[in-house]
Amino acid sequence: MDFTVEEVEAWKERMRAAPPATADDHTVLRDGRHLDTPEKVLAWYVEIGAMTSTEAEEFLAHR
Amino acid sequence: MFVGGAAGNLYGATRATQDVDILVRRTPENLDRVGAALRELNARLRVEGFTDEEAKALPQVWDGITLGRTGILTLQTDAGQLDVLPDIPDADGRRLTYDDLLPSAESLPLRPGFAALVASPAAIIASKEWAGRPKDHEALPELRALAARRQPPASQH
Repeated sequence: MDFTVEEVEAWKERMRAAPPATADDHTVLRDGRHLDTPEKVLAWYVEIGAMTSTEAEEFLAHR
Repeated sequence: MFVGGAAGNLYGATRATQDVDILVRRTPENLDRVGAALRELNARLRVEGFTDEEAKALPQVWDGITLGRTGILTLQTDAGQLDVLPDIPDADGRRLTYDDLLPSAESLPLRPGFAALVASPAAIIASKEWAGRPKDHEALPELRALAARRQPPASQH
């Protein structure tokens, strides 16, 4: 099967015009948590930041 | 590896899909590579209640370690919507990973010099049969017709 550049561009254009996310369209973490609200997303970012900070401190302590 | 509706499009299905679903090999080295690609695409989380501008304001956290903590990842990127999946179901609901699907996947040319690895039509059909949502049922007749017309590929892997 051959795809032309025009087809790929049309496909990309359709995806750019995609509607906003819906309730069943969200990230799920490996531990089963659903990031389905802005509050849960922000809490996850705080968690990532804390883990990164801890890892950096451990790195510095053993350096 | 492309899966889902976009994979169906690559086999010739005409049904519109809003996002691209991909499976990636979940080794630490590969997740680091995926993270680099997501940063290049300016990927941000897609979640109801956030505008895209708000999501863009969040830090870029895509590295192998963080990706290893995610299962289904729904993203908006500068190139469109992208979902990074850990696996897809077969007809019995068993979860199949990138490595499970690789032997039957096909390499399809997108444009000169660039090919895409795509899960087999049978794998795409099975995952949609298992998912069973209205949009999956709508897509199935065309996918089955395309699969029936398609010659099995010569071994590519």
